[in-house]
Amino acid sequence: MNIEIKNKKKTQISRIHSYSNYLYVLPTFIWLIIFFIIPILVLVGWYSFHTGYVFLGATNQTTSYRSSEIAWSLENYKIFLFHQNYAPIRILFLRTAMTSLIIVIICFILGYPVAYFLSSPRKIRRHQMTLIGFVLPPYLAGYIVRIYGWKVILGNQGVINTFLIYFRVINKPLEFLLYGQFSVYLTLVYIYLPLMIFPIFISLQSLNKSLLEAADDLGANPIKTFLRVTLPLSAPGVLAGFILVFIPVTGAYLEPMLVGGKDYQVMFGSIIRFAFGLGFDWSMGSTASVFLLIFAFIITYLFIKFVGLQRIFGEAG
Amino acid sequence: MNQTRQRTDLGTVIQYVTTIIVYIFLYAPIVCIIAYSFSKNPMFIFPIKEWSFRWWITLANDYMLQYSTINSLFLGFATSLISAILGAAAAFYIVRTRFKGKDFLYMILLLPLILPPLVYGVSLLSFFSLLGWTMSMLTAIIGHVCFTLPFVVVVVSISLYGFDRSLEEAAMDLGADRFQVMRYITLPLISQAVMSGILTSFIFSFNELIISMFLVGKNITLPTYMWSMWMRGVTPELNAISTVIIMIVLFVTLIFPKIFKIKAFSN
Repeated sequence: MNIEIKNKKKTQISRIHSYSNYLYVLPTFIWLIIFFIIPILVLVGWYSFHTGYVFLGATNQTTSYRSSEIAWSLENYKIFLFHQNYAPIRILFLRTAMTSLIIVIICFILGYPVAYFLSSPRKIRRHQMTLIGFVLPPYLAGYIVRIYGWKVILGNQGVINTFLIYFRVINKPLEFLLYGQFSVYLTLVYIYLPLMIFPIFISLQSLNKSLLEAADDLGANPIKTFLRVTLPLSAPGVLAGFILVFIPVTGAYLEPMLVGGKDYQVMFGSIIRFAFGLGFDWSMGSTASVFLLIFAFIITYLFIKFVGLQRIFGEAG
Repeated sequence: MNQTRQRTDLGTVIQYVTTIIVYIFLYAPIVCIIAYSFSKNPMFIFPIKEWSFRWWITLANDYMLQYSTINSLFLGFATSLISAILGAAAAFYIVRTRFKGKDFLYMILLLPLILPPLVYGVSLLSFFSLLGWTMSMLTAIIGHVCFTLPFVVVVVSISLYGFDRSLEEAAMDLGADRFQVMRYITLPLISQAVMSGILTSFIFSFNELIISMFLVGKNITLPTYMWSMWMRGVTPELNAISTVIIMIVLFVTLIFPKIFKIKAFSN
């Protein structure tokens, strides 16, 4: 109700003098159409429905991928969905979706308490912004630095193994640490955890604290207050975090490639990377990307259905 | 409030413990990278026995590194400037006006945040190839701007939602025209948000690897150079480069906003 009054006031003010000049948004809009929407449409509507974008040998730089017979067809989709040679890739898609789900849940379990702690104005009120600021540098340091850091720690000649050997806990290095499922999951959680903490922090911070007191006064115990008041009210942040982690993880390929070893070297993204890199099969690569996109859109659609975008960013200020 | 404060039970313990664990988790790799950049041994053996500046000296003599850093700096500056202008303008329009399809526009603006960068890089690559463009710095800038726009839009629109419009009205009442209001009231008040948008986009673009790999062409950037170093197996030198990057990131995210804030207030 409060929001409605606020919005009404806003409209009144914007009627007095509004920046309704659409010239503000036109360049951005055109930019996004040309360089964001159209490329994706090209990928989806052109490359994935054409066969023949495969490597035929080096000619010159821009035309090396062109085959002699580029033609419209549904062949890519047929092959991708039904051909038996592509069965491992279909399984890989499911495995990647599963991995993303696990990563999201781990990020949530680790991220929610941190966001809750940082947003509760108890002892750390003065250092709140500094503490949340310290989540940012690991996120911004870039993929290579972050993955490399874990290689330093987990490797056979890395910090943990040599530490344990130095104190004679173990004789041989623990090989499962680096180059396996464990290290892939660890680096993925490391990379995407800040993206979970931030939205939850924002939504918890804008949460009306008097509601918690009301719940307390009415005799709810802390667990009940948390489950029935705090968690539902922070739902927009939680869902935003879920989306921000879930979808990018489905497209991850660097982490398994760099720390996955031979057991966990590929995720679904690796297929796309390979098709557009050394594999030179742009048609199949685009088709694989289309499946990733469809997956992303379904998730995003569900998310917008659940909570409007306005609720996530509109109230944050 | 008393009751809420007395919750020093399991919940509080969980909060404290997880927060400490998460911060250790976040900073363990960073501390290790920095420490081992001064180790003489190319392996990461636990007690660092001999310290040296060996990797830093190779770093200083690496011509390709300097070339790629300059490229990355240029890319970062260009990207952050363009996306700041486009993003701030869009945020203005979205926050201050009501129109049909506002949610839709906002969604498109935020879409790059959730799109896997791999898919986006690939789609831009195929788009530019269809046009017959050769990959260059320009294509990389275009790719990065779309990915850094959401940062600027979110930061600026949050700051605009919390903006006290009566200040603008007061200026209007005192006879300022629209451009004066913009120049002397609105822009100074949101400058910090715009600045933090610029900084975030700069760092993001400076460190971006996945889109760059597809779009930079022959212009190697710092992350793609580091990538090739890793692939060639020249790893200890990566410690030193990573340390530099971490220092830049720490400086920009933690110290620079404070300096900027002080200046903004003294003006």
